Amino acid sequence: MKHVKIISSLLVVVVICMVAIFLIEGPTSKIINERLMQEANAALFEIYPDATGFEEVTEEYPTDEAILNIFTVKEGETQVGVVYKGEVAGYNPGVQFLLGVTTDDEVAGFKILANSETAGIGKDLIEHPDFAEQFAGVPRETMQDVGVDLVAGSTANVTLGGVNKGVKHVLTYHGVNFKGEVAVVPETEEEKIERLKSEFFPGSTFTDVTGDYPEGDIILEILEASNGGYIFTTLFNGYSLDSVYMIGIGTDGVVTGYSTLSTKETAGIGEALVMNEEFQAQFAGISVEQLKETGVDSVAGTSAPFTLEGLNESLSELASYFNKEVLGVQDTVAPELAILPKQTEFEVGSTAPVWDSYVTATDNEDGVVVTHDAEAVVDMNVAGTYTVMYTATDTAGNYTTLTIEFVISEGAVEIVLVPVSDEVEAILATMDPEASEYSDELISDEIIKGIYTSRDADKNITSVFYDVETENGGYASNNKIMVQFDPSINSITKVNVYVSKATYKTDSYAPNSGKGEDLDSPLIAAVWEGVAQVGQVTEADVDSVSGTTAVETFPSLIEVIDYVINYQVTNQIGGAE
Amino acid sequence: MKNKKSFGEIFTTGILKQNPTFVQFLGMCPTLAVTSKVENALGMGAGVIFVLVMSNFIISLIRNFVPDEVRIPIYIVVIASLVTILEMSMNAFMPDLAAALGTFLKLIVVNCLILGRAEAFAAKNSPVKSIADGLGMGIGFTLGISFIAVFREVLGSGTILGFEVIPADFQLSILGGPAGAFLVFGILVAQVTKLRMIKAKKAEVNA
Repeated sequence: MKHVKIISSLLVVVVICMVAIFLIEGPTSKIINERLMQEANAALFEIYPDATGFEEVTEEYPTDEAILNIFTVKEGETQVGVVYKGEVAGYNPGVQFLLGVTTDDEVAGFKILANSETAGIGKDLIEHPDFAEQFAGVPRETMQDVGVDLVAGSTANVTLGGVNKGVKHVLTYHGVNFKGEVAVVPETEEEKIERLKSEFFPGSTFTDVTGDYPEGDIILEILEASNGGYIFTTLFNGYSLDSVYMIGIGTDGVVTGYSTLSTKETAGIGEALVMNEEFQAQFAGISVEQLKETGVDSVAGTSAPFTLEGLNESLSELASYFNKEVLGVQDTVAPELAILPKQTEFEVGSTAPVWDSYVTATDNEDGVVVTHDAEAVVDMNVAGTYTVMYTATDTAGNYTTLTIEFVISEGAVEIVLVPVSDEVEAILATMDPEASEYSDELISDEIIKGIYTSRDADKNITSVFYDVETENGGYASNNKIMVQFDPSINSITKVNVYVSKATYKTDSYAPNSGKGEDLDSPLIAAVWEGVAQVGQVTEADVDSVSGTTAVETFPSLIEVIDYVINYQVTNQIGGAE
Repeated sequence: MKNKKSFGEIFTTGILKQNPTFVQFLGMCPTLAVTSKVENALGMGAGVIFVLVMSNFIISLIRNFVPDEVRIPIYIVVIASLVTILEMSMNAFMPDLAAALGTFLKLIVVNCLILGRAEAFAAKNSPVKSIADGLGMGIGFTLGISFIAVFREVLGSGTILGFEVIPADFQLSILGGPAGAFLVFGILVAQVTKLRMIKAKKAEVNA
């Protein structure tokens, strides 16, 4: 009997407790679950504030590298849309976003969840409230075609390009998996080339005639079309090297079509230009002459000057090649020669001037060579009047000549000076403030943009300045440098990088903090003080003061400065008599 | 041994003379753990008051039907059920407090104050008196841990119920941590014990 009482009392208590818990559990669990769902899906609610539920359905759809999660959205019992959690690379990898699409096929909203874009540039763009506002309510097809824009004041094209790519990718995926659209299988390289061939010259058959023509620097392949024309597969170097395009040119010299096959230009900038359909479409119908002379323009919404310049250079070279080698057009136009207004009278015993620098030659085709007989004709130590003949000859053998009279006189000679431009004077004045006059020596070549001198009150040269640019060798091209020489000993007094576009160059970078941005640091310029020999400054010297290695920027700087040292030593400009 | 004291006497006994925190040393685990913030201490206190009053009441009601052999398991079942109900309700209606109390909310089950009062009082007294005992002990416990929490929060985090009272530079952040809990508790117990000894001596002298 005792046992029965023990067991039954235990049972009764347990049952009553279970019932009590059960009664409380019903209403509280509902509240708890709702709250948990809201916490877990807080971000999703920003896209669909009126939603009553989100169901993850990622597993039910094909995996996709850019799509992390897929949720269906319910309001009450109705499914109102889908939210995607996606990830793309902007300037840096890891831009995570939510993108909602309604069942009416409109974009419901967009939200950035995480990113490592550059603060002040890409990060500020995608986290700007105006940026996300561009999404809601836009029809899916429009968004898929056009994407979104920068917000006012932003220049983060690379980040924008990445986000647009990701958004378009997700929307395409949505079309295929939720709307039954047919997935577009990307064209293979071969299919694309075959399609372009038939677009450029419909109905033609093609023969590879690359081997029949001389090798060109930029021409990879030449195909001859059976109904009159050629297709060139050609290289161009824009901001980066080795992009490839295909262009069809009829035997009448009219372009039949253009397509960029591959490019390593910057995504969102150069890539956006050369891959732009409107840009590529503008080629059809223009003449080879136009390619040679003016090239093509960028189109609305793109701005990539380096890429455009590189492409136009390549097109011009291709046009010349086409005219000369394929059409066999003979160049019969002689180069043009012009005389520069320079000093032609010298005192007996002076240093010889730079004879080459008295004329400039231009030709309708590239490849003009200027020769003169000055060394044979003029004797700087004997007074007299000498006539020097200059000859400009192009590669086809056409030539032009002209003569200049040089006077070597016993007495003092009046010195004719060409003043420098205001811009140049501003730079020279900081480097040699005590000079009473600055003059332009009117000398330039492919590396030296100008040679200037500063003079004292008696017009004696006190300093010689070389104005040079680093070429594409600098990680960012067109860094501008003024190199100052003491002409009495031909050694460098000062190196002034007056325009530095080196990598990551911003005002906030102090010298010694990074790589190429150290280019205009006074510490680096100081490495050249007193240098008088080519090769005296090495990469290691520059690296050691900078504390970094800028493997492209510094070598190109060393290269151009070595070039001007050699030039000064050879030509002794303003040199000791 | 029936308790002859009135409802009011039973009630005040728990608050002062037999304060669970400073005199009986019951429920030390939450005393040390949740006293870093006054708000948490009050929340924990409220939870304990609820469970203690209810368990005292229920156990008093069933005290005459429960066989002696299984009384402890039955008390535990009742207390555990009450704590489960409390936890579900707090999660539903006071999620922030539930999160702050964390595991200690569940551990009210094994708070010896509750089982102690069930065994020592409710099992031998009427439901009304048991409620008085539960209320008194519960409030005593709440006041005790809140008292500790006031010291720890004001001196340790420079705030009281979330309002800043002491600038960051002058805070003793050690008091916010576990070591601080022991320090504050020890000092306060010493003070309370001293007061009680003085009182006891006076009573002896008077007697």
